[in-house]
Parts: sequence; structure tokens; C-alpha cells
Amino acid sequence: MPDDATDDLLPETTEHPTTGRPLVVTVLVLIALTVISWAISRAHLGDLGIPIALLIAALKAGMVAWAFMELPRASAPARIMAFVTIAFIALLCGGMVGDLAMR
Amino acid sequence: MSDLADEIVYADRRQRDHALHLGMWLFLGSETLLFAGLFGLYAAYRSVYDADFAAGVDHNNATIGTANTLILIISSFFVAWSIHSLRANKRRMCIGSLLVAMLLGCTFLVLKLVEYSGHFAEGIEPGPHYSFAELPATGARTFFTLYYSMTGLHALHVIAGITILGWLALRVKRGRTIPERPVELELGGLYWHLVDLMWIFLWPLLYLTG
Repeated sequence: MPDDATDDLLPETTEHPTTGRPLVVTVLVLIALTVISWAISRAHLGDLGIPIALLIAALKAGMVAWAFMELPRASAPARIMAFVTIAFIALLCGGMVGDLAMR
Repeated sequence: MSDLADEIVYADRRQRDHALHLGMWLFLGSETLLFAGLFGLYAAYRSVYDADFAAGVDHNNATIGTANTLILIISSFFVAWSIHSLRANKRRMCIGSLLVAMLLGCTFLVLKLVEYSGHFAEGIEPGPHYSFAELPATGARTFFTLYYSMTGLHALHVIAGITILGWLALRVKRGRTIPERPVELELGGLYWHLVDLMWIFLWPLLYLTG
């Protein structure tokens, strides 16, 4: 049986926004960022192209996680899970590229 | 799980929903790590065959890729809107939003098939079947093999997502997922948003960074 200690891990609130406005604003910003990313790619920025495209992608992913997936309202273990996953991917990709770059 | 079993394992409904959400986040984490292997391979091979990868990206149809990005972002919005609608006790709006998201998901797949058929017609096929004379280098062959692996795996997730959204729409229609407890819809929504998240990163790597 669960005990009161597990309550510390639960989300502080189960309340949800009563207005859908944040969702509408989020999707409009996501569309704008998509258009900006496409426009920047047409400018052919050379070596800067990939970091800028990935930075915009990360910003968009953060917005999806924040507004659509409701990450701020998720429990602490769920938030830790999300951040650990991102860290593992960065470690994997960084390690593979770093290994090849230093040979 | 039956209601009796729920009572034995969980103190209350809030705790049960919390456990379901945590389980879903763990599943999403494992799904993400499945893609991470492919992202890692892309990063490694790109650092070796940068020029060939750039040529492969330039050859891909950025218009279709960009359209698919917008389609998935808007579909993600409709899934979030369906949850918002159900919480507000607007079941018809919820079902309608889910159907629009499913339609957008199907449109994504149709565009992907159009793109694949164009590639096949040019001899751009995965692995040893590659015969595209314009980009004959090993790096280009590797790029397109990774392209098929990444987009193919993603397309399988889109198909699974559309199926889940359809099942959820039926549950809401039959009154089995209700405004007071929309947890199944929230979990299905999380899966669809992950599909969107993956594409948000695939799009620049496969269509923009030439």
C-alpha cells in the first residue's frame, strides 16, 4: 500500500488552464519558427547552418514539451526522466562526433 | 486493471493517474533512445561525409519536408486541443479535434509516400539497392540509407499514433473516457507529441542543412 511519503512525488496541482489561448499562441509561434528555420536555411550560412537549425529545433521541442505535453505540470520523476533522456542523447551524439573528430 | 486491484495498489485515483503518467514518460524516454541511436549514427557519418550528406540534403524535397513539419505541428495542436476540450466537457469538439489530427497524420503519410516514390524512381533506394548516378559516392548512399531508416521508423510511429488517436476518439464517443478523468487521452496525446518532437529534429537534418 502506498504511504504519504509518495505524495511528495506527485504533481503539486492537477488544475489545468481554463483557456485554450496558450495552446493557440504556442502553435502560432511554432509555425513562425518553422518558417524562420526554412528561411535561414535558404541563406546558406555554411558551418553555422546546422547549429542554428538545431537550436531552433530545440526551442520548438521545448515549446511542445512545455505547452502541449504539459511538462511543468508533470511529476518530479517524469520531469527528471525527460531531462535524463535529453542528456543521454547529447552524450551519445557528442561522444560519437568527438571520438571521430579527435582521431 | 480492475477497480478492486486499483484500490489494493493505489491510495486514490490521483496516485493511479500519476503512476500511469510516469509509466508513459518512461516509455517515451525509451522510444527517444531508440531514435537516439540513429541520431548518433547521423552525427558520426555526417562528420565523416559532410559534403555528401549536404548534397543528399539538397536533393531532398524541402517543400514536402516543410509541409510535413507544419502538418505535424498543427496536428499536435489539435491533439492538445482535444484534451483541453474534453476537460471543458466539450466532447464533440474533442472528437472533432482528434479526427482532424488523424486526417493530418494521414496527409503526412501520403506526402511521405509521394516523396519515397520519387526517390525510388531515381534509383535512390536503401543500402545495396542504391543506384542514383547523380550522387554515386559512399557518403550519399549512407545518407539515404539513414534517411530511409529514420523516416521509416518515424512513419511507423505515425501509423501507431493515428491508430491510438482513432481508438481514443471511439472511447470518448462511447463515454469511456470522460471529462472527469481524461487520463487515457492525456497519455495518447503524449505519444502523438513525441512523434511530432522526433520530426522537429529530423526535418532540419534531412531537408535544411545542405
